[in-house]
Amino acid sequence: MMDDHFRLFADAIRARLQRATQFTRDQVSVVRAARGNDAGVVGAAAVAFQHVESL
Amino acid sequence: MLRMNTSAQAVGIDIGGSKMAIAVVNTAGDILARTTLATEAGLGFGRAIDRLSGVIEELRAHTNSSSPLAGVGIGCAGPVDPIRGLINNPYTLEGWNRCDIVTPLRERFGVPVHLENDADAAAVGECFSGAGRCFDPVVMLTSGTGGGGAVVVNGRVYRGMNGEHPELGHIPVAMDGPLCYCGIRGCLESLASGTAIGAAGKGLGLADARAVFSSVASGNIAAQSILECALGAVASAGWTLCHTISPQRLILGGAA
Repeated sequence: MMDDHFRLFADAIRARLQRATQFTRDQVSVVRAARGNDAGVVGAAAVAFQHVESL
Repeated sequence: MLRMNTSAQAVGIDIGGSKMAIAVVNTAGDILARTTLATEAGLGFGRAIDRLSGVIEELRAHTNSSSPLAGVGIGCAGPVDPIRGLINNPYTLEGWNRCDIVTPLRERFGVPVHLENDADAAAVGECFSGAGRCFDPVVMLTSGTGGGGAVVVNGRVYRGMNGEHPELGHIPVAMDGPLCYCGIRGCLESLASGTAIGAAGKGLGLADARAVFSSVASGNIAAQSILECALGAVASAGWTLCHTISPQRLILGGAA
């Protein structure tokens, strides 16, 4: 997602959430994905790791 | 369950309609080796398995292949059946219906193999080593050709019955909106996806969603109206998700 587009979408959500009275709106953050096009392969690998017992 | 050590590697595969990305990833989420293949789904599922297998071996050879391979994970454009390991998507992957991708890769590499919907895999990736790391629960919305997303709770994809994932792209946001293939009018995808924005833009003589965004930037009022409709849809979806899931983070991703 490009910077400008993210800002538009995120600002729209943030503005709407400012009206909310029934949940802790200040504790939800609306952020841009950090891994970009890599998220899919990294996430697929992470799914494989998830099925392995932790250290 | 297997026991993993910190030098372990896993192979991640991201299958889309036009290309397949394959990477060897370590436990920190670093990509150690990667490549991309044209999907060429119409040339046969068996051929794709052979090509993927060959590439996995090449990539492992480029990394420290003495590191144990923990497993192989696959994110694929849905519908998929993650429980049975079946790709059921002849819509964007020609001929790939009831195709078992797990068994042949498991037999070839001797490690566990798991299949996920691609949006779910992307959300897990963000939670593993991206914007969702150390946050819980996390909702991710993606906007590209289509629209969708995933819910991750305790690091795991939230699933409904039969292992199905929530179809966040089809949350209703405007009951008088365009009719969607999902069965209702005015779902998020029908108003805020790249396809939807582009389709609305065609009425103004604009080629696609990017052209709509460009026209807005140059002051086109009609294009601005299309964009505002999309933004309203996303805001409504965000509102609904925050009130139903109470996420600590709402991540926006995709190619829009």
